[in-house]
Amino acid sequence: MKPAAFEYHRPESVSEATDLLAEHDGAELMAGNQSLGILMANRLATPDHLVDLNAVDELSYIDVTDEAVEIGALARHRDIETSASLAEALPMFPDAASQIAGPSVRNMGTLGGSIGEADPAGNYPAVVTALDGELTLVSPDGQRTVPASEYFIAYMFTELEEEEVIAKVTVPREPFPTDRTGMAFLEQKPAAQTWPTISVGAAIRVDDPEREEPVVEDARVTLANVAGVPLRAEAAEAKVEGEPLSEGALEAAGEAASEASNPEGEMHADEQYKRELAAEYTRRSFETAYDRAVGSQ
Amino acid sequence: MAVESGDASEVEASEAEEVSETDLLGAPIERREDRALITGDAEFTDDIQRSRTVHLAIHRSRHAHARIEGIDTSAAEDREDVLGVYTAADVDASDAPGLLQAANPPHANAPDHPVLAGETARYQGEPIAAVVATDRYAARDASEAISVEYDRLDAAADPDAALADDAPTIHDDSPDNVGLDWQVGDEERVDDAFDEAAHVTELDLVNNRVIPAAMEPRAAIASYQGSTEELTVELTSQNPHNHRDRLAAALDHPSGKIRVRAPAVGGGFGSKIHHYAGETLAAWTAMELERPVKWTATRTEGFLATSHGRDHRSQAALAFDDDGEIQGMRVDTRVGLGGYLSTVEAGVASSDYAKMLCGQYDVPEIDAQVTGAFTNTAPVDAYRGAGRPEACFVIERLMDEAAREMNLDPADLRRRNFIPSEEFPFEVPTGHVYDSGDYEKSLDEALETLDYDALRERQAELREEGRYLGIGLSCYVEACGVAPGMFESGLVRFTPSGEVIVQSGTHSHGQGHETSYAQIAAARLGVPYEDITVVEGDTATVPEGMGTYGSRSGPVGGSAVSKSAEKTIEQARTIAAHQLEAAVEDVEFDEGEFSIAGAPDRAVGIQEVAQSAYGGQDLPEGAEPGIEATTFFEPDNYTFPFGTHVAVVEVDPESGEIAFERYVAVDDVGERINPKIVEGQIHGGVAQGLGQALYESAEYDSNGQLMTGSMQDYVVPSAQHIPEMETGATVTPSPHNPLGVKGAGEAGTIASPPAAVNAVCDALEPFGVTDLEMPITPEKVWQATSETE
Amino acid sequence: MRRSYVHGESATAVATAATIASTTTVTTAPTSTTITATTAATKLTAMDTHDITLTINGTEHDLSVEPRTLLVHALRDELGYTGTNVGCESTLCGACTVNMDGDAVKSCTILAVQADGTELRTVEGLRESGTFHPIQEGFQKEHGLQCGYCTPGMMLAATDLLEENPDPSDEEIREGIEGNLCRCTGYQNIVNAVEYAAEEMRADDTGSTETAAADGGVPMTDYEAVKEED
Repeated sequence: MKPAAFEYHRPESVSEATDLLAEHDGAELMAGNQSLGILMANRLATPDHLVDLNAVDELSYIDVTDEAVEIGALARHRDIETSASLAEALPMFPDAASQIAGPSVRNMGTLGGSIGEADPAGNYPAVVTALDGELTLVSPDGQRTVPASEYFIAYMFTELEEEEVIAKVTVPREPFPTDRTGMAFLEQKPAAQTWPTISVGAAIRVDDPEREEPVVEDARVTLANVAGVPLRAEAAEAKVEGEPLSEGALEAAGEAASEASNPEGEMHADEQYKRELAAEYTRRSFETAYDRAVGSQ
Repeated sequence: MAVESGDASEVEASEAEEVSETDLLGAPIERREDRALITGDAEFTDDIQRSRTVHLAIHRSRHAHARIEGIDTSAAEDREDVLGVYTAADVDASDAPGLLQAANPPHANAPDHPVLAGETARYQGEPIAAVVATDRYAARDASEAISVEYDRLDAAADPDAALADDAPTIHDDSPDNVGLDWQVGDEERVDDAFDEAAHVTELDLVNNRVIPAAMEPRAAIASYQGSTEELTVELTSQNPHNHRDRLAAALDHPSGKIRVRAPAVGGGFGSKIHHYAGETLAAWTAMELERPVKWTATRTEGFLATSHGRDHRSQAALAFDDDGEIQGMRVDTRVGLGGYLSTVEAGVASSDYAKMLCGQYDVPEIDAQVTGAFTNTAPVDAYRGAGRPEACFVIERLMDEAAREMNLDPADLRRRNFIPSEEFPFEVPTGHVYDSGDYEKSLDEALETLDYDALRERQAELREEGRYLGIGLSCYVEACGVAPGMFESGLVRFTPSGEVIVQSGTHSHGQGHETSYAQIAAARLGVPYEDITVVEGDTATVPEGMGTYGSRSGPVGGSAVSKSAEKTIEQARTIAAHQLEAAVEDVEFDEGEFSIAGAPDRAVGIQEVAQSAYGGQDLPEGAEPGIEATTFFEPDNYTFPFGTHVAVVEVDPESGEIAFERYVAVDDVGERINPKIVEGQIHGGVAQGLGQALYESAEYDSNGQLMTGSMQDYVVPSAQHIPEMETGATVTPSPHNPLGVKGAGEAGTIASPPAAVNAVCDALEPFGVTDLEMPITPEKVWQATSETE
Repeated sequence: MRRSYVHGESATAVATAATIASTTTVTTAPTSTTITATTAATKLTAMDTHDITLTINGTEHDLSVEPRTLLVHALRDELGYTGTNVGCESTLCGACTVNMDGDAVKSCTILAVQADGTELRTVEGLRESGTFHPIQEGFQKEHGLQCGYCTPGMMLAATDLLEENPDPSDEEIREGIEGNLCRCTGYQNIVNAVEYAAEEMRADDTGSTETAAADGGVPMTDYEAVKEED
């Protein structure tokens, strides 16, 4: 298929981009074009105006400080996947990035694109939700920050206004001291080119990895593709917190995650199976995160 | 006959120059076709640019079954960049019959298959209108501007739905939707065998509908010269001569005025054998407009309207005596045909399938019934293996399940029933006479490679730990190179400079004919490999032929080349005898040279003979000044390659996920012209079969809407899905052709699905799992294990 | 609030239907449905073209394209670089993979206008002054291709992998090419081809010539041994 015709705009700054959105009703933003491109090729999206963000260099960065991680919306999956500072600070990001499609797609696809698309099966929406990230949204009227927990509203429906551009994601580092935190991002998917059936991002902070049985101080888990939005399973987190990770706690956490899920059945994964996967992948990701937390010193 | 142990990939490909001509047959040399393909020089159909080319797009039915109440083409026609918009009414008003061609034997009932649907659309994606515009994008814009008014009808998306009492009628001439009805064997004797059986194993099996998905979409570029009525169609074809004849019939145009050329073709797997609307419409509109017309399918168009494969549902049973020896086999199969009977499906669904149901075993009696049902889905036709994978799946699933039920080792049960090697040729009750075989040997070889007994011990140990390893055997035999009744041509021509041109009516789209045929000719003629050029794929230059499918190119096409080479040697021998002043019967030929018996210093090379022959010098009286021979080789029987494949998997019952641990393939494809190419064919075939077993499925909803219309939903396996394969070979030559080859293109696809399914079922035996439907997704594993927990 | 570019349904589920008639709307009930057209696709016809410059395998090309022209169509139809193939037009198969400014990308989901000013490498640029690139040699030596349709994209993906990881494991190679589908080979010989190239490229880097024979050579003795067993 070939896309329908449109007018093309290539702003070089965020303000130019938001002005273009304000000027052209129904204009579509394009970053990596790895999802939008498929829709346009199949004429499922036929915007009259396309605003190409690829020349907006100010959105393309990864900035890791002692206090926070900031990632510009135009950071490519591949940059996130291969960033040594992210691997150190918030390894869930590179873990999640490395599991998106194949390398050539990751060379183009962007963080902002994924969060803008807000597919509940997307990887970054789950990551920013698990890590309590904040999104900075810019419009011609200025900028605002929205916590990830409030950004995703319903199936592919978000806080982002028509004239807004996602500028960056910010995650405070304080909850994730590198010497006693472990993270994991695990998914089951039929193939690189398909959406995952389920993904689970988990983070665990222990009190002291040197102890014989380190206690889970803080646990985070977010599931993708088991609800209309990324699902933060707080009940599952509670099951593993306050004690060393045990088989019993993992079982309980899995059950809690499964109960919190509200999945839509799909072709090769009905509701019941996805609930089972929610439990299984919650267990696996907590276990992996804990092992990494304990082994991370 | 010999056994080659271990992994054939250890054999390095070698440069042809380093192998003497006489050793070329059987040498794993590098492929000569690769250079064009690794540089981008190769010309695929869509690469062809002709001046004044315009582009065709097809507007397709949105619904699986609907009356077409009206078509509004005005918006498309109003566009400045549009040259023509066509519907069924325009085809009807033309001189072209506009019907796609299909084999229609007495057991079938093929309805008319128009290039553009007129009153009724019978599958989602069926062509309704064609537009020609100045470029690809404009053609698509115009196609989108067409609007069709439909009156939707109920649809039947699978053969059982189509054969149900309340099913909608898809073709008025077949009110019960039966398009094919075929039977083999003796029902009464089979009933007796089952009555007297000590044990009966029964399975209801589904052979899932799959999509061939060659990487290159179908395409055509057609040019027409009105003054001479010459039509040239370059297209994605496995069989250019067949396509020429089908186009001639559909367009009512003399076949002598049609040139069909298949340039580089990016994979076929059967799907590029068939006669389709897209290519035919490109030809017809080129004639209407007298301009070159190019059409290239999108991937989704390919998924909707290029033939699918398989779609069988079978009730199958084997009867055994006390010793576990098979006494009879009963199979009842329903096949989904799709909205129309496609080109060769009548044979694929019936005899190509059911005549191979006995597999490697001495099955004394069989009763097999096949009922083909029209369905509101894409037509089904030959897909890599074409009937034999379906047959192999039935018998090999039954054998594994029978072994489990009778508490026998699956290898042991197979051994008890193998046709003994000394009994070939062997006639099975379906009528096939298997040419040659040694089934025990390939099984032994595979089990030895695996260290089978140790593996079974390990399986038992792991089960104690709650880990589930499964070992799945598949002992297959297939029928290649359909014969008698289908010939293939091979031409060998010396040029005046002494080089050699080889032509065949087959077509290579991955199989490496340029290399293999050159190996055959060089070995036979003793002429340097580099002096041989191989040409295929052009009806204007190549002798009449039937094309490449059914693993026939080696046994039939290669044999034709071999025979023609022998004929040119005889032509040259007469001339050489004259030049050597000897009697023809005293002239010997060896390694490219004619010499006189007993006087080896008096010799002349065959290339020199050719040079002098064309020069008209030194010819015997009455001899023609040229050296060229054509053979139309028709073997007197099929060939029957065989082997054993074994899949070893580990299954996680919690998540349902399946991981391959090993995959061992021991194949006997007779003599191998180029073992490296043969191994590649096995690899690719196995990958496609594993795709069907675990990942691929063309899914329609009950309304006949294709839910797997893109590669995002239809999982073509990637490098991450396919395990490292350990290949081995035994060699049992076929007696039916001069090369002793059997064909290798489909073996892997035939063998691997039951190997994988048997492995998963074996792993889940502790859960009481006896069958799982392909593709075995994690969901299905989980459902099966959680049900029995 | 901004909606994303597709309503309610899964993009892929509706892709099929959309391909057939994305501009039609269902107006009545299930059993007897009438379809009417709202020809959105025709609302914009002749768009302005953009002048762009693409440097392809070192040669600069100026051309004028519609904004919607995909890079792969510009390469193939406008400039004649037909070595880059189209397999799915939706990033899923990898046949169209080229190298853009040093990275492997899928040219079917990059707009030509978006690639303005970039340096591109296609399969035609792999061979330099008549010498095959090690990845090309690898595919030839290891029988890493059959029909050859996926091969250009596969080689461009592989060279990108080898630039980042000169000594990949089998598993890393399989990951590196997982976005490129091949229907012929079962991938095993492609993995071998990439390994061959990796060895050659490492040998070139260290100036060693020893490994040149490691895979390419045709140990006739090995081959003879096999022949005899046959």
